[in-house]
Order: sequence, then structure tokens, then C-alpha cells
Amino acid sequence: MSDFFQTLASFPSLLSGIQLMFLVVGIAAGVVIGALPGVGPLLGVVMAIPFTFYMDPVSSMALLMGLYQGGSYGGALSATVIGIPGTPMAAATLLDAHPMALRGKASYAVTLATLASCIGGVISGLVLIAVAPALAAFAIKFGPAEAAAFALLGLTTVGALSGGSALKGWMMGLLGLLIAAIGLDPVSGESRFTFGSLYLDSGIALVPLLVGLFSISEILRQVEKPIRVHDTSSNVSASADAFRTLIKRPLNYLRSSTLGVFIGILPGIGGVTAAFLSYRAAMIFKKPADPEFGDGNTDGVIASEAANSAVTGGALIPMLALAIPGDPIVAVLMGGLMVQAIQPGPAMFLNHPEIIDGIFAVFILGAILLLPIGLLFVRLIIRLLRLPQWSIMCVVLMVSVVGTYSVSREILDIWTLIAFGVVGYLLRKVDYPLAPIVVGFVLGPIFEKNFRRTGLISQGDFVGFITDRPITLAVLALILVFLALPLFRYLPSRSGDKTS
Amino acid sequence: MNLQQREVLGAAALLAIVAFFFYLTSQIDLAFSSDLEKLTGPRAYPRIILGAMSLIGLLLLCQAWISPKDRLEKISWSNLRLVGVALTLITLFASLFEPLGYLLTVPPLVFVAALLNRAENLKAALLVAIAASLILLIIFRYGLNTVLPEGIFAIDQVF
Repeated sequence: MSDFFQTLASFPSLLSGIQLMFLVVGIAAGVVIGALPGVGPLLGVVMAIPFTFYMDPVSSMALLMGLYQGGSYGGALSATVIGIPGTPMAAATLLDAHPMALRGKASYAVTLATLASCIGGVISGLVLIAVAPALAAFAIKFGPAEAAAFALLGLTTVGALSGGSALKGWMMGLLGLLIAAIGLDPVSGESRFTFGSLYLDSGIALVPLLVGLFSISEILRQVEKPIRVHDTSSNVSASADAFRTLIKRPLNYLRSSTLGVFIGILPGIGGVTAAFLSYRAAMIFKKPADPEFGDGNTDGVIASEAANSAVTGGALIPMLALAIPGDPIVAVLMGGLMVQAIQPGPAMFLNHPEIIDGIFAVFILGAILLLPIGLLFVRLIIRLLRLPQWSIMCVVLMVSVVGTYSVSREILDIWTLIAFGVVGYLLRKVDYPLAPIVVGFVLGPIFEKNFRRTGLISQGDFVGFITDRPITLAVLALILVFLALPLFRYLPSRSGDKTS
Repeated sequence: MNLQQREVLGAAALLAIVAFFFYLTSQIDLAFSSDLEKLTGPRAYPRIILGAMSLIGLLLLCQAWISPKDRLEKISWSNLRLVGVALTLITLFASLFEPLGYLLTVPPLVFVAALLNRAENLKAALLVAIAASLILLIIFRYGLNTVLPEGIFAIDQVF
């Protein structure tokens, strides 16, 4: 516990002026990107990755986490003002915040959402600081069998819980593992799937893969089906009434944030489920005098926003402590650390404690700064919602292509970007999720290294080796549960009414 | 195309990719041909992944077979043509970026991309293309100190 308070007390000395500046820029850009329908925090973080190549690790994390936190909140602005959630996470916020705005209480709704996001972020940050080091201290004792099992668990849960068909999620996770296997074999040095190309010997680079899959495929999708721009009113400002809810409804803030953190820790579930579960929980505790849920209920906005913001801190816990990215944006953040030649996981707490403390400081400060940035720039951000979609897509294309090239000044990176752009576009067309590919790609080297080490240590007797390791067995049992979970979901629907 | 056809097409395409990669694994050299090498060597790991992928691919194919035959939104060939033009544009850009340089390739790319994204105001599209390209150039060249291709137009002569 003393470590927890020491970490908090050391925050002011942890961040330099430039790191703070990157954090502020990240949050402001994240709020705008999150508010713009069709862009979203994932695309924002992906586009920023090439820029972080030139930064120190903490500045890089400040920019990326600012984008993550700002982007997770930004969706609430468009949900409130124009009735379109900028991000899927803001869909639950829309239910009550937009009716409030329609009744002329847009300022109250926006302030409430900002405040709830700030509180949810701070609470999840405190849990992150308290739990991640303890989990890492436990995980540092793991051998290769446990590390491989945890990597497989991350992949299985993301596939099972990423929405839609679990089979498709797993297929995409395995595709990510396969793409990560391209290049020289890490043990024997033999070429795998390189077609004799020296460029492919070093493997597929993370940046062109990410930018191609998410950014180029999104551009192609919007060329096919443009998104309509909505007229907006920018008459929104901070509301003192919203701040009074802190005293009147503290339990809702606390309950929703706790639920969000818990769901964030579980890989693959994410902010959308957290927001809706928290919303359902708030419905149970509805006060009789309050408006109905879906008709401008204050608790509905608090529950949804506090929970989806709290997911961000929760999702960082398994990523930092176990190297399991439970969410596609966190997988990209993990990639951002790997671009800096830092491998997340328990060893990072021993080898780079200054970066861990910097990340904690960035996260807590980011959550606090969300409140002034969100409220001060709300009018400007709402005006930006009127920007024509073509101009946004042009900037996305330009930053994606030039940013990718700038990382290694290798023209083949642009060809890789185009190839993955086409792959991403085609996969979207047949309704396959893209996020598990990133999770598989990021986990691939960790899984392969530890899986093959286990094979070598056990002389190929995997089964005999893991039966002596209770943690590995427990994780493998959990993997089986996650593999069976979709089957249980499927069975009742087959026995029930087909039309239901 | 209906939902069932789309699902079958998706699963079959992935299975074809899996089969192709499986064939490629036979070209991976083994340093030793011991039993341990066969279990943990460079061929074994991708084959385990591909084995799992083929199993899931077959399950996806079965799932596709029992999926409903709901009609999907009709394919708009004119919009698909635009996607083809966009891809050709990016491919052309990739071919010319280094030989011609940043200033001669990025603004035209952005301008044509604006048109493909249904920009109605040509002047605004041109302005955005030039202004955004210059801002990004300044960020990379002077903010991040990155050398971008100068091609036949030396960037330092412009500024």
C-alpha cells in the first residue's frame, strides 16, 4: 500500500513539460476524433503510432493514452448533440443524453458526461496503480509454459467475446499469429513465408499492418459508402447543475466506475458491454422521481460514461502486467511500446520502472485533464463535427501513408500498407472482425517464443510437462471454458423460437 | 448475393489461403530431422496454427451452410468502381512517391481522394490538399526532423 501512495506522491516529478504537452494534445485530438462519426479512437491511435517513433517512451504513451482517453469520451459529444454516437461505446450514453439535449439541456448532458468520464478514468487509474504492480510481481514467477498459456488465453477470450461470431474472431486471431510468423524463424533462423524477400525476412512491420488494416480499409469503405454530415448547434457550455450530481449521486459514479474497471480487466469484453451493463445496473436503482431511462435520465448518462471510461484503466492492467491486450486499442498501445523496443509484461516492471510510473502518471493526469479540456473546447469540438467527411478522410489518408513511410523510410512499407488495406476492406465486406488480427499479431512473438521454449524444455512432451504446473493447467481450463462459451450461447437459441 | 453465399465465400477463401500457406510450410528448411525438430522446429509452429485455422475454417463453412439465405444489400458497381479507382490511385502514389518526391505526389493524392470522397467544392478540395500537405510536410520535416523523398523537387529549396 505504501508503494501505491509513493507512486501517487511522485507524479508531479514524473512528467516533463513536453510529455504533458503530448498528453494535452493527445486528449484534445482524441476528443475530436472520438466525436467524429466514422473515425473513432482506434483509428486515431493507429494514425498516431508513426509519430511516436520519434518520441521517448513516456511521451509516446502520453500521446497515445491521451488519444485513447479523449477518444473514449469524445463519442459522447456527438451522441449528445447530434444523436449519433461517435464511438460504439457512447451508444448507451445517447439513450438519455440526446433526449436531454433535445429538451434544451445539452450543456447539462455534456457536462455530466464529461464529469462521469473524468471520475471513471480517475477511479480506474487508481485501481491500475494498485493492482498492476501486484499482478506483475506474481506473474514474474511464471515460466514459458504459463506465459504461453496466458498469451493463448488472451487470444481465446478476444475471439470469443469480440462480438458477432466467435469462430470468426478466433479465425482472425489465428490469422494474426500466422502473419506474425512471417520472417526468420526466431530459433533456427530459417526463412518462413518470405518468398526470398529480404524485406520480409525481418517480418511484417507493425505500423503498415495496423494503418493498412484500420485506416486504409476505412477510407476504402467510406469511398464506397460516404457518411452523412449533420448540422449541429454549438450552444453548449459547462453546467453547475451537473457538478451537484457528485454529491447527490456518488454511489452511481462509484458503482459504474467499479463495474467498468472489472469489465476492462477481462480481455475482449470492452467499453460497449461495460456501458450497457452499467446502464442496466443504474435502472435497478432508479429513483421514483427521476425521468424514465431513455427519456433523459441523469443516472443513465453517469452510468454509461463512467463505466466506458473506467474500462480504459482496467484494460491496461492485463496489458502491462501480463502482456495480454484485452482490447484492440490496448493492443495498438502495446504495439506503441514495442515500437520503442519495450516489451510489456511483468519484466517491464523490473526493467523499466520509470516508464511504468510515467504511464501511471499519464493515465491519472489524463483522466483529470479530460474535464477542463472537454469543457473548455466543447464548442470548438462541436463546430468541427460540421466538417465535411471528405476533408477528414483526406487527412486520414495523407497522415496514414506519409506517417507509415516516415517510420523506416522504406517504400515497401507503403506496399504492405496497401496490401493490408485491401485485406481489411475485404474482411469487412464478409463481416470478419479486424481487432483479433492485431491481438494475434502482437501476441504472436510472445506466444511462439514461450510455446517453443516449453517444447524444448519438455523435449516435446508438452502434456507431461504441463500436468506438473497448476497455473498452466488452470489457465488451459479457462481457455476451454472460453472455447465452450459460444456453444452454450448457441444452444438455447436453437432450441427456442427461430424467429426470436 | 445472399448471406449464406457471402459466408460460404468468406470461409472458402480463408481455407484456400490456409491450404496455400500449408503448402509453403513444406519449403521451410529443417536444420535437423530429429523427432524434437519435427515437434518444435520452424515448420511445426506454423503448421499448428494452420491446423487450427483449417479446423475453424471447416466449422465456419458448416456454419455458413446452415445460415439463413437473407438477401444482402445490392452491390453498387459504380461505388465499387470508385474503390477500384481509389486503390489504383494509392498504388500509383506508392510507385511515384520516391521518384517524384513529396511535393509532386501528396497534394494530387489528397485532391483526387477528396473527389473520390464526394467533395462538391473543387476549390475547397484543392485548398485542403495543398494546405494539409504543407502542414504535414512542416510537421515531419521541421517538427520531427524526418527526411521525406524530395524527388525532382528539393524541399529545402521551397522553404
